[in-house]
Amino acid sequence: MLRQIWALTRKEIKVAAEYRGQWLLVFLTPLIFIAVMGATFGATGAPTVAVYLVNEDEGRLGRQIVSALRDEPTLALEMLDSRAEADRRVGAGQRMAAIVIPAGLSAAVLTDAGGVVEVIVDPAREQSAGIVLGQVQAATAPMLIDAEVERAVRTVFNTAPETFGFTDEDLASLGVDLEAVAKFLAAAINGVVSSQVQDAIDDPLVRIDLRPASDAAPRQAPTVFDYLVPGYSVFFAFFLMGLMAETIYEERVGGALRRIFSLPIRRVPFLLGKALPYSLIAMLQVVSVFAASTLLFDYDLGSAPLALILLIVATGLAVGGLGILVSVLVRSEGQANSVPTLLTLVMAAVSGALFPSIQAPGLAQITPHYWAVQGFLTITALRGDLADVLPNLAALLAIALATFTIAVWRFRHV
Amino acid sequence: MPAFILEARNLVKKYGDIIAVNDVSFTIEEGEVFGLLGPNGAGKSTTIAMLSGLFPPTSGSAAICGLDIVRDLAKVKQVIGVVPQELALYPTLSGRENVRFFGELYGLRGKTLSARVDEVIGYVGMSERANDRVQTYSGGMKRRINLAAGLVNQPRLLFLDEPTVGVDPQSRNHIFESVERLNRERGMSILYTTHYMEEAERLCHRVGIIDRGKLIALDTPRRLIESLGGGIIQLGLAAADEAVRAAVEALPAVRFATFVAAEEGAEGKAILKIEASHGNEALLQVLHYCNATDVDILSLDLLEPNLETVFLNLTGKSLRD
Repeated sequence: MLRQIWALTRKEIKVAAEYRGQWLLVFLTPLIFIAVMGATFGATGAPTVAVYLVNEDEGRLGRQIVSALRDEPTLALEMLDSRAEADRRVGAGQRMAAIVIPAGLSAAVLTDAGGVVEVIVDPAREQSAGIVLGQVQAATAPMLIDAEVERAVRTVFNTAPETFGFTDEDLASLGVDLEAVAKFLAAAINGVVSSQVQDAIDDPLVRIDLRPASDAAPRQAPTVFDYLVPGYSVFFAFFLMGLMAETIYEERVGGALRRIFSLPIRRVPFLLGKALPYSLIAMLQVVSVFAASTLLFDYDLGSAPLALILLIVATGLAVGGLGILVSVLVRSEGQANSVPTLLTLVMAAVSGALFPSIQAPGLAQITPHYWAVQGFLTITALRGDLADVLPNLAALLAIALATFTIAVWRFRHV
Repeated sequence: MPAFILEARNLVKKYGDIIAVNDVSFTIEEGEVFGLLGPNGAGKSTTIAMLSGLFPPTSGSAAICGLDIVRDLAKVKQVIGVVPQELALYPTLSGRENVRFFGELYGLRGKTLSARVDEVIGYVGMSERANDRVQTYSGGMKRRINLAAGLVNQPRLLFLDEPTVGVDPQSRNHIFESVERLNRERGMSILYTTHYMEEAERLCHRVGIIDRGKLIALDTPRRLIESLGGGIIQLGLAAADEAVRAAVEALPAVRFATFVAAEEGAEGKAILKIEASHGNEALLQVLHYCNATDVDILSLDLLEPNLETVFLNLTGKSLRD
């Protein structure tokens, strides 16, 4: 039986090798997608947002805010001269938003009325404006605190001495130079309050700590490639299902299946011999894309090679299992051409392989993509080990076994 | 050693209400080339599919080398070779790779496999092109590699299902010679299906004529042809006159006469089919009778006795219908 499986496997690889377009899709396209998507979203893991920035304020605060926003890595800024120009361009859809620092902001923040930093948003992308708003608030917070402190100190020194139990005569009899004291205290209080506020920011009474979900904390924040590389490797590996369906359909209509089953071979070794080569090709594809990604995108493979290998093997088996099931079920050329592709796209979208999902997994958990991509993420970005991906391995192997079993049950050679 | 290499008893295959094979029984002796002759859709391929274990019969049974085709299917498959009607080959592989692949599925390996592959490729005269891709072959060359793949396990009984469909004369001749050599030199038993009566006459020791799933005649080609006597005369008359038919049938050189349906395009003409015991003599007597009785002859066909005529005589239609 093993000899028959191996004969079928070698034959299938030889036959499949002729489908050169398919190899381009499976091996090269993921790298192209990863590169393009990586460039689009930036390598820090958070998407880079391109916005306009207008600084009409001539004071110190305006300059400080511009400087802080420029230090924000997730913002790509383009300076414009006027609010009107920014408004026109955002309205034309050239950027999703413009940040406008209005004239007189530095002076306004010292008044009770305060000042306003305006964010002009493209109405078509208003839902995404929260990203810009959050980044502006984060960037301007320290400057606004400084301004708040300065305003408070000035308020105190503008208050009449009687308020504090002194008269002008008392102060004069002591030989105090009020003007000098005012300057000294203003500077001291400003410094003290600023320091206290900064301490409060650095070490607040109520802290909000960001912790990783497990003890296996990542060494560093995941990059966008930590999502893209496994996501697109797995996504494109499942395109092999189309090739499997096509070859079996051709064998069916060409009479090869009839000939093969007039030979002493049973269904299980035959289907194993059909599924195994594509499992191997899928494994090779993941290995190739991962290897290329380490060179091209500085992709970190983690520190659990055994877990990584087992996960690649399990992913390959899931491709083979699901692929052979789909191949067995399609009964026409049209189905062979469309069903596997449609299924691949739907499963990839549902599973979050194409875009990292922030929703609860739900339906995604019935897809092998989900377990494969999450497993690779655990090993690579989260520095997990074999124990951490055991559920992923179990799920992938269960999917492979279940789909293969159904395929054996449903297979008809005539 | 069983007396027959194949015994089929009352084989039936039904697909819902359709009866593809209807109560077919025949035997093949060791070393015999047995032909199943019939038009497309007659049930020849379905019979082979049942006998080669592709699917079980709805009812009836068959034994090959004494092995039941249902109970002992795995053993049966080891002693048969199947050359299907379709070109069941992988076009992007070479002829040698194709034959080798099927040999591997039989469990052959190593030097035995290589030697067997070379041998059968040589047998069908494809050694020079064996390493070329099948997709570069002519239709006849593909048929020859198709045959080679069915021989790789050295079967005792070979099923050849319409092996010459779409084949050029040169390759057809090569296939004929291969079949004759396999039978003559190796004593291989062969079940050969075809709708070409020339092939059945040339290659087969016995022929079963099959139509609409039923085996309607079975004998040696010579006896089947002799059963027609002196051939068939078809007279086209203006009307189906029973008196004319009876008078013709009463002629000394005529065995039987009957009106049959006219072929498409000859409507309005009554066809009197005359089975002659002596062809030329019957023709002269019929012409003399018509002349003497003023019966107008609209057309006249003299069909020489062969399997085509036998089939026509049995079914009223051509093998190529």
